[in-house]
Amino acid sequence: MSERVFISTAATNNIQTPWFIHPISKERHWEGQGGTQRRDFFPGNVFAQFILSDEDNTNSAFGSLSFSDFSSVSPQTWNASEVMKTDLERFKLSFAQKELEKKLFPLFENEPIEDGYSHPAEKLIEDVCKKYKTVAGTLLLGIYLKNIERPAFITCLLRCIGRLKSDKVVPWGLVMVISSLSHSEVEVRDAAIRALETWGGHESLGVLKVYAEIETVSWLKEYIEQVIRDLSD
Amino acid sequence: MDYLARKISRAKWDPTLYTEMDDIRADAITGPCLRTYGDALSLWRCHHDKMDVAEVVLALASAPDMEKLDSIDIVLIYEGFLPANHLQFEATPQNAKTLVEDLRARHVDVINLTMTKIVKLATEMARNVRSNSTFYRFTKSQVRDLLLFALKSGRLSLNDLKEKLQQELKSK
Repeated sequence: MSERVFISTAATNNIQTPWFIHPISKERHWEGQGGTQRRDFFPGNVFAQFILSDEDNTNSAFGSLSFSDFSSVSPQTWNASEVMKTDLERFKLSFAQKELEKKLFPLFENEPIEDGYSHPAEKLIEDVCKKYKTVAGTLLLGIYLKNIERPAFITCLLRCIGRLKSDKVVPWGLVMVISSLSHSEVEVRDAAIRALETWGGHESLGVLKVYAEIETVSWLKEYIEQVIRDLSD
Repeated sequence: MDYLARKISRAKWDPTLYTEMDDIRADAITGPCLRTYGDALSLWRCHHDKMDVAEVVLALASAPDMEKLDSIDIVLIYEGFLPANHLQFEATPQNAKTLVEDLRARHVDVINLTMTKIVKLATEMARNVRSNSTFYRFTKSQVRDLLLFALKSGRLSLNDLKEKLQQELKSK
């Protein structure tokens, strides 16, 4: 039985192609050989992640390898492997989301966020943004949406995200904050406005100007108006 | 100076879906708003005037362990409320956590606190906060300006502040 390997390149213009390793010779046999040449998709030498599995998919494992020659793959194979890649990424994202959530809960429970003082969750979230880069937003938005009915958790999450530099949270941070501005709990809305205050910039200012018209709690409305003045200076 | 100021998180003092009319959320009492040490609660003397409350904000923002700029919420309690409710307090400049020397004398501790007394204090604070009569929020930008002005006038030295806070002050 040969092992079937699905390759997903780390490059953005990536492609997956299934290939086989002969159990004895260990030679690679490309499924797409003779198919359409898609050289434009292949960077010269990439570091790839793969799932290694036997043919009936009962045993699989994650791993990585580097290789330098992608010569051919058919469009059909490419489409099928794209689905596989999506499933793999969804699985990895879901796993990472659960792990992060498990770490955040005790941090928020054990130590309240205090004005002017760093919170251990900030470092954790910052590390996640560094590690997951483009999917960090999806990851954190997932956690946010899952806990939308837990205002204490959402408030802490917003306070920590709001303390990160705006370029690290674009654009998902703003999406999270805009969504929070319509939350029923004042504490959540306050945390969202604090984030906008910290990030500043014309986008934050625009959101605040719209929201100032809607807010009904007087002290929060006054705060928004003051932040608008501060950011306009 | 006939008022005492305490740093709070304003949003924790608003009623929520599950609180009764005059009820107070447990988080407001068990969190940093009313955190005691040795059954004592730290407060700062001031006038009921925004300029003077700003001095308290400066004292708090220039705490030696302060790491970053944030907006600061302050509630004032009328000093006469304390003896009227059997709450003892004493001047404790030695306990003042601030780098601005001339503000240390404003520091007081409400002492010998018990749960019953904390609830009395919390009830008064909630009343003041919700009526907006003696509540002040200083935005992050206002706190920055207070610190920068104190640095400029020599009341504070940049090198004494935490590295992160120094960077934030230099960044604008």
